[in-house]
Amino acid sequence: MLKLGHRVYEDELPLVMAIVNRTPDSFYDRGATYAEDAAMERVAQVVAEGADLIDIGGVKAGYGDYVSAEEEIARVGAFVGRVRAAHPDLVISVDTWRSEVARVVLSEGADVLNDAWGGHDPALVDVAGEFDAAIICTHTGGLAPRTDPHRPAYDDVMAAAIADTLAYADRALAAGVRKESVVIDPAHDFGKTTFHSLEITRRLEEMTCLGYPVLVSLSNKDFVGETLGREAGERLPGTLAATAVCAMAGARIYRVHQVRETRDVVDMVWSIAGRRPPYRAIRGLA
Amino acid sequence: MRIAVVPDAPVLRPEHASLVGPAPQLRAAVAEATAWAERVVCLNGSARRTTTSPGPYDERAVSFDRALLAALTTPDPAALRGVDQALARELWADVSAAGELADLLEGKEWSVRVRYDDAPYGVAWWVLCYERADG
Repeated sequence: MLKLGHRVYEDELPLVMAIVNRTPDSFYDRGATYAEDAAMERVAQVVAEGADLIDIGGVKAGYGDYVSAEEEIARVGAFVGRVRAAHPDLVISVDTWRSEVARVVLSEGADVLNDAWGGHDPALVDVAGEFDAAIICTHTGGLAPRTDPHRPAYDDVMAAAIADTLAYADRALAAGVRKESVVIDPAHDFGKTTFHSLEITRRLEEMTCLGYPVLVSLSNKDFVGETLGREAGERLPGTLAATAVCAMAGARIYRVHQVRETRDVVDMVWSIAGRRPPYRAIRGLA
Repeated sequence: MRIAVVPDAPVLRPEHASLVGPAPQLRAAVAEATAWAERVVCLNGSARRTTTSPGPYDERAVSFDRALLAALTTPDPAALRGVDQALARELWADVSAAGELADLLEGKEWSVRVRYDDAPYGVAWWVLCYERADG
């Protein structure tokens, strides 16, 4: 069973998490949904395209202008409330590492805390536990928020990702988060070279067998761009290829920019793996 | 005695289930008929009825199916025994159990209910329920 805030999933079907940025400078959309109305339109669009949940972010992951907690709250706090009012059943995740931001967004109706920075703020799990929220435990190799890796080194990158995400999960459980509300994420690109991200993709099954649902965030990332020699707007085929490999390994949640394409790839792989019936099969069976 | 005639269509098997359809009315009719019947006989008409049928179109298919359905619903055991099995094979019709059904129906009065009669995917599918008219 998986419980993401107010929503309980009894089945094992894959979930598509659509990225909704309330940032002026994120690498892919470059501020396209920074304005609140544009972000609301993006929410309605991704819901119509089949997103199971959305992930609202108020701070660009990479280097950029400093964003205080107060500014982050201004960007995402009331916006979560507005989304909740417009989409009462939608599962809402917020991409934040700050416990003070988490408290506000959970009060506004968010279900999930997506901590892309690997538990940098130790109080984040306490807020998740207090609000009975889900939490996504990522591996960053100890990287500080909003920094890029420089010569990261691991004896075994997948072993490190497993050890760190399980340790984070243990902290979440100790803080009162339910086991069925803990998700782990190897965090492609974060604290990793392209070679590391390719390796965790190749070896993802070592993580999906651990008993926690695995989230993968692959969408248009640098490891795709560096692997194929493609700029940010040209990485969809590479993203979908990586998505297919992760789906075959059993990743449960896919954090994406392109919902419809991801939905098709993940559903197709799920059916190839025998985990999902075809939508409608009559060929040769009449 | 209660007898049901249903098609042995692979789409009805659990391992071929889809998320949506593709033959929900047939599936419901077969489920109801097979639960009700004491004997189940599997047969179906031609799979060459139209240009979108599984088999290449054959202009004889529709009239073959029409005659077969008449024999089934009358019911006419002699006509069922007399079905041209060679033509049936040519037309991709599954009627090898027609003789068995004729033996079951022979010499008794039957009330016949047509539960399903359609060919949404180019194959003549029928679900028929036979009940002894004299109880």
